[in-house]
Amino acid sequence: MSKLEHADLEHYSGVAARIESAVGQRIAGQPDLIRQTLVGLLAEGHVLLEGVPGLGKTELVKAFSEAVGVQFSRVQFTPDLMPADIVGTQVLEEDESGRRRFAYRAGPVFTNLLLADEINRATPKTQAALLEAMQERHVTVAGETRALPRPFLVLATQNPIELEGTYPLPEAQLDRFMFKVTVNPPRAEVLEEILRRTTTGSVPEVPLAADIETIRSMIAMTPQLPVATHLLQYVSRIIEATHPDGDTATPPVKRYVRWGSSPRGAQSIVLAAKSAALIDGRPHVTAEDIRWAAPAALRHRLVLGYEATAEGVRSDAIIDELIHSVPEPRPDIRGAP
Amino acid sequence: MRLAWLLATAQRFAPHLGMGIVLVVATDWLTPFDRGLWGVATILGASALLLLSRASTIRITDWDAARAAERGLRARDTLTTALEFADSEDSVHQLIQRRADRLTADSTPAQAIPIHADRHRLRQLAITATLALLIGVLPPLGSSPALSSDIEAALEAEAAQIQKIAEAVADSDLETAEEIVTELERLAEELRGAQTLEEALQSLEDAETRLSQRIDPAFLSQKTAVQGLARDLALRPLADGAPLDASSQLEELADGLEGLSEHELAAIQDRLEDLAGAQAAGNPALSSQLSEAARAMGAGNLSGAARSLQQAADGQQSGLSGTRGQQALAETQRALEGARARLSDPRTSTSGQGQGQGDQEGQGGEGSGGGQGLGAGQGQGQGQGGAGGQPQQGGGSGQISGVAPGAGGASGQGGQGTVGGSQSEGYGTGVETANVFDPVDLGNVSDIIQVGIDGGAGEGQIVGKGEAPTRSGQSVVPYARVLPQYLNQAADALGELQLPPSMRGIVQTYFDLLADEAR
Repeated sequence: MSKLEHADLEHYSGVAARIESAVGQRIAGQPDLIRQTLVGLLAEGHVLLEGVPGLGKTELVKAFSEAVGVQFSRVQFTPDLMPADIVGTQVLEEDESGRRRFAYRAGPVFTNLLLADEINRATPKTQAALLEAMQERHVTVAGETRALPRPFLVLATQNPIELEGTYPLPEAQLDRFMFKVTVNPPRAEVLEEILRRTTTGSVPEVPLAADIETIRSMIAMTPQLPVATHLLQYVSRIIEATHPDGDTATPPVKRYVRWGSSPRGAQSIVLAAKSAALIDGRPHVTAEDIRWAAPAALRHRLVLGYEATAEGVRSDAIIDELIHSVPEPRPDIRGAP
Repeated sequence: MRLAWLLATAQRFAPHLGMGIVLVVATDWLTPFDRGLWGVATILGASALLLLSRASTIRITDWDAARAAERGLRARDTLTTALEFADSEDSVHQLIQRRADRLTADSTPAQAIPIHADRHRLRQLAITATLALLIGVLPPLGSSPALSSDIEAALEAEAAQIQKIAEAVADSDLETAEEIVTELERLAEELRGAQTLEEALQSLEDAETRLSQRIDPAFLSQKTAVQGLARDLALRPLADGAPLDASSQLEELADGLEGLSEHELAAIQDRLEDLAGAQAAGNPALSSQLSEAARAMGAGNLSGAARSLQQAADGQQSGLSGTRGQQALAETQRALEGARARLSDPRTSTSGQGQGQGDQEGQGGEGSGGGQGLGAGQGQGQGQGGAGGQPQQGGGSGQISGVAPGAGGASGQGGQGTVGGSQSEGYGTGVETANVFDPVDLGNVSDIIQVGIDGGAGEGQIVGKGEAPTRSGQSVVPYARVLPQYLNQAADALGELQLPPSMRGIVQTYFDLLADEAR
């Protein structure tokens, strides 16, 4: 039995609106990007931000950390970055009595909001260290397991055009991200607003919209929202349709997709839809929430084949077609109004 | 919900239904299948029945209704979720329930489940219905074109003509008058009601067939024999001052045998034997009666001879009557054949007119004209006679169309002048024309024969000319088909020409042999 009350719903949507507004004061013209990042935060799902340099990815993460009053760390991933640089290491210390012992020095992963900048520039070994922390929400150093603070959210960025000297994330590790958000270049009017805000010598302040306890309670509330069975069926059908060998696969999926989404993709859609419904102040999820969440939850989970690469077909186009093809659950009466 | 389902389903399948109807109508149009209307009615009826039956029996659950209402109220999964989470103790469930209640509080069923018009499908239905209608109004492919105003007028003209013939026949005392009239009236009605030219042509052909089946195969021989006897006795009466009518002459002879001398009896006996010989082929019964009379006379059995002569007189009378009836059937059949030819190829239909003029003393003119080719013939005669030195004008004209491919016959009775010593003047047409198809040399330009008519001694003038198959073409008239026509004409000619009975027998035998070949 859930403990959500009407006041909780109002509180949830109110705080969410304040956070969006606060972040929006720093980040101009990207409401959907802010909403997706906020959903990731409130569903406690990691977000991979993909976009060319200079689009404000890092600024977005900073703005979030300021708006929600949580700890924030930033790690610039480079090829020489070692796992210990992420998760921490043991150092030899000498106490007052002169005795030497190994003491654990925590890495930047011990934070609430971790910005993993250009994550694809680190070696797979380092990436794996972070990704383990993302999945397990704890790290193990020298045989000792240490829990990460909650909430723990990784916001990773990667540059899609500079491939030389990078180590693309393997599919299994990409799957750990709840959302992959594409950051697009701003339109002219948005760019004008960015110029107005950032060229005056002062950076707009981001007001504190929520404290960490509020965020924790909102994260706890999110999974409690009920989802009707027919909507769960809808999500299942969408996921099933991403598999090229499935009966319900659409022609583009059959042609371009090598591997479809994992069940984690379905979980991500449902959790994100719940969070989106709560942000909107609704006590239940709708099919529209699912359709909204699906592209960001699926675009990094579809493994495209050679034909897609050769023909320049992107996963977004396939997902868009797929969402329009998979019918919403309807009454079992043919021709029902 | 059921009504909405019914209308939504009807719209969903409407284009398919329309395509089905188009297929049925197109099949009707393209193939001999002529039950298009029936097929369309069956499809529509069955579809309506199926739809109504399904709408009344379909199972509609609460979830179905909630789902449908969500669309109408734009409730976005609220109702179905509320239906699923109906636990009254759970706070979130109560929130959902309250939200659902709010959305439905002020809504009517019509708002919740609106009936939508699917414009795309309705447009498809309109297109297919228009297509079906267009195909439906077109005449069947490969059949006669729809009746144009020209064809309709032509059919009406033919029907009127046939009606006139029927009226003329009805006024006659022919034995076959009733059946001919019935047949012609029925045909006229069918022609007026025909929807297509093909239908009209079929009616004409059917009527022709029925009439031809009623014509006695031995009719031509009988006609030649009967007319030959009448002609013989008219030209060479059995007794001086005897009436022209053959039957009356025989009756009179039967009554007056007792008063004849032996020489006269011997002459009559020879004459009767000649007549019997001429009748042997065409009318064996009459021939036998005449032979019997001659033999009885030779044997001095005058009463037996009188009985045989009386029987011969009756036979001749009966033969004349029967021949006229058969002649009327044959003429009617020819008229229908002509009508059919004109309708089947109106381009070759031409009209011809024959007119003759002649002078004769003491007797009115008699005129006849013949149409030529495929057109209607028109004959007109005019006679003028005078008596006592004062010209008197006898008026009369006849006009009747004789129609048949390549031949037309018509006759008009001119005025009858008073016989007297005075000089009279008469005009009579004396021309009858016909196209002659040479069964051997097919396709020659038609010849036109001119046959003089006793009534007028003047020369005829041909003012029209018909068309017949040309040398470069092919004969369109089968030999077997034209033979009866020429047999008939030959019989008429033999009756008209002054030929001895033996010569007539030769001609008749020739045609009998041809008839055997044709059969």
